[in-house]
Amino acid sequence: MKKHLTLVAALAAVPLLLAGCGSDSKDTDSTASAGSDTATTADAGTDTDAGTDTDAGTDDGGSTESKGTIELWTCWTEGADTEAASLEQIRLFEEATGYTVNQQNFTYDMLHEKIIASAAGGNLPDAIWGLPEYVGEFYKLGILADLTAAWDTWEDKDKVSDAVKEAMVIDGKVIGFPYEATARAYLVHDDILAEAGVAVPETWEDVIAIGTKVEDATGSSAFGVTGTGVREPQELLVYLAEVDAELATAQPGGGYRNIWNDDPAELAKATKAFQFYIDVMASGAANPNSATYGWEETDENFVTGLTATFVTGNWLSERESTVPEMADISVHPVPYPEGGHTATYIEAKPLMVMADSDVLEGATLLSQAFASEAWQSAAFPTRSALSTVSTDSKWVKDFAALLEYGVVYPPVALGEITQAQIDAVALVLQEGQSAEEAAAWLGNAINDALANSGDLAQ
Amino acid sequence: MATKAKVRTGRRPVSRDRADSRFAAAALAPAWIFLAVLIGYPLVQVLIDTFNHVNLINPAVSGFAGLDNFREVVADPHFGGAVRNTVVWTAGSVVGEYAIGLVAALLLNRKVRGQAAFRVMTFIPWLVPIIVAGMTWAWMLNPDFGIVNYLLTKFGVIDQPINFLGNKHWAMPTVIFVNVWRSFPYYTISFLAALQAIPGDLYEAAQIDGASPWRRFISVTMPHLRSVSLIIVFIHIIWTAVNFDFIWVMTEGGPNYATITLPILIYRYSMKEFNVGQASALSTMMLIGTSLIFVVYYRYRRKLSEEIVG
Repeated sequence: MKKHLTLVAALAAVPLLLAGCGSDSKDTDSTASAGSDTATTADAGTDTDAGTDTDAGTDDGGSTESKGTIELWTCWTEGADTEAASLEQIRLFEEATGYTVNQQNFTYDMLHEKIIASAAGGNLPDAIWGLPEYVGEFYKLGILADLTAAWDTWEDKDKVSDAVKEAMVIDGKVIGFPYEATARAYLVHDDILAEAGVAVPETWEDVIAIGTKVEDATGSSAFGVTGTGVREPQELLVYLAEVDAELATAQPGGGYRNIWNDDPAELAKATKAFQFYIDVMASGAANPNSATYGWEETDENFVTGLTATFVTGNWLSERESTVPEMADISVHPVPYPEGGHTATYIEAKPLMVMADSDVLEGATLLSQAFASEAWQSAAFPTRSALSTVSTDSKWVKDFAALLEYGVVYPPVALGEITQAQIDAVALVLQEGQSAEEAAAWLGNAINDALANSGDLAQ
Repeated sequence: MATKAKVRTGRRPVSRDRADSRFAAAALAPAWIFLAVLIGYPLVQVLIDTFNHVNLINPAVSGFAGLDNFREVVADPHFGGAVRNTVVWTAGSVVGEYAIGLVAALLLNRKVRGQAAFRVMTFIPWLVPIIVAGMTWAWMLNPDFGIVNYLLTKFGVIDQPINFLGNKHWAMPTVIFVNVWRSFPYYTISFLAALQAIPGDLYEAAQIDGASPWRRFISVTMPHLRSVSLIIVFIHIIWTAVNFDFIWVMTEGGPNYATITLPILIYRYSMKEFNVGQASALSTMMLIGTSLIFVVYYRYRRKLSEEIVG
């Protein structure tokens, strides 16, 4: 009898152990209590990755019934104002709608990888933050819900600029609501340039003409360049846009194609952008170490004044109160080549809803709520996509003035393309290849990437 | 005459051997299920994907691939560099960890004042999470504001700051150095345990026979470290060869592929290009390589055991 009991106990332990290592199952019960959600949250909290998990629900021990649990993945900076304000907004959303929100926080890179893995495993959350670079990939994965109808009935839709809305649309379908939108601007430490007796450069030629004047006079590099990492492709996109060179051009029959190697005039445009990288380094205006710097080093160098001028975003405003060297910063359009025009990268971030969500309606409502004026005013006052949410700060109005020059990525899978952009800049900055060689190589690499992802025009 | 003991159950008698077998099977079942679900299934899936065209975002890429994925991996311009870097990274790390770990263990095995404090301090790097260690060293080694370059220039060791992680000649030695810094305490712990198990009589006998300290180290100490050396060296060869996070945190395989290793190439195939077939093919090649290393280890282990047992 004892042996039988042992056998039964051992067998009974198997499903328990398997259940213990299983993934979170989504709460599909429309009458699921807040109490049951607590268990889900506790489970998610044991995740070994660096994500953090916060149940912002109004869990009061099961006294209130939930219409369902929305699994939300975010990427805010922990401890910053956006987090505190958003958690409060989530609480208000839960009260107003009856849904429970189970929120987890990741870095953008982590979120991207987890979504790819979750999509393959069929275990996606309901709503996610994301970078515009992810849109094409996620759409190709077939995981994004079509939010066009929700957008059309959204009361704040007219407060979103055309450029930002363009970033939310793929194949004519709206795939997200913009929870954050920023442009890139040319930020200048006025005091450093004044000490060196140099005017704020407006063109690439002005930047190159500065040479080592600023460094000789102040010890700071005149101009910041990002040589690698996720920021570099965005920077290159802007410089290419300033010479009207497109990474991938929409073709009449559908699909995209890089046309640089098909047309010498197009190749010449792209070559010009790469030549700027070569020239700015050769002139001494940029720190040679920045050929291998990512956003972490370049932002740090600019904030602390080791770099006098740099093309970056208004997220740096969060550091203004703690870094006295930032008091002299002014905001300008991104320098452009003579004969070209200024441009900026619009980083309009969509809150996307997963197509197979069990709480599609609730997730769509949450997505809408995030982009609403109340939420944006509370959590994103300096980085909102809504024209009605603004402050008098230079970090808002001076950046907003640049939105009309905004460009966005083409809506294709970008993982391989952005890596190719990084490699192409490395060819000129690290391997000593010519600008034309790098441009031609990148053109071919982009078409290879488009072919691999199925985006290449036939 | 031996008879099998019978165990009475509710319905019919069952032999004790059979009951024992059933119990063993039941007790092992959870472990087998875990292995099948968590290791067996993914492994089989990788092997299946290896011979198929699989792309996460392009459904047009599908069907039986034969050996195409292997051909594409080998034809990749970064494959040769990744193999070479993986060998250099693994060999450099393991040799460095072994040497420094052994020296540290020998020093910590001596009876000196504050021995416990020294031992704790030596183990600190091993307690630091890889991501923290990698990011901290990346900032410390920065040529513009890193403390390492500041000190080296201040004391006149170098004239100009060195871009340790951004220079393709310095990047690999630097990541190896940081990996050695973090991992050598594991060797130290293992060697220290083995050193403390060596009977003091052997050293006394050797000393009486006139053996020099170096001779005692070679003839007494090292033979007693053979067994632990074999284990930790082979374990670390495999751990280091398949390591992804350390290099990813510090250089992401850069500058311009100067530190790309096979695990990072697998990551790029799967997460940048979404080419699961190619990623699986390279994973299978690595699996074969590490399995061969394990076979070599097993043979050495058996030979050593036979020598020790006599």
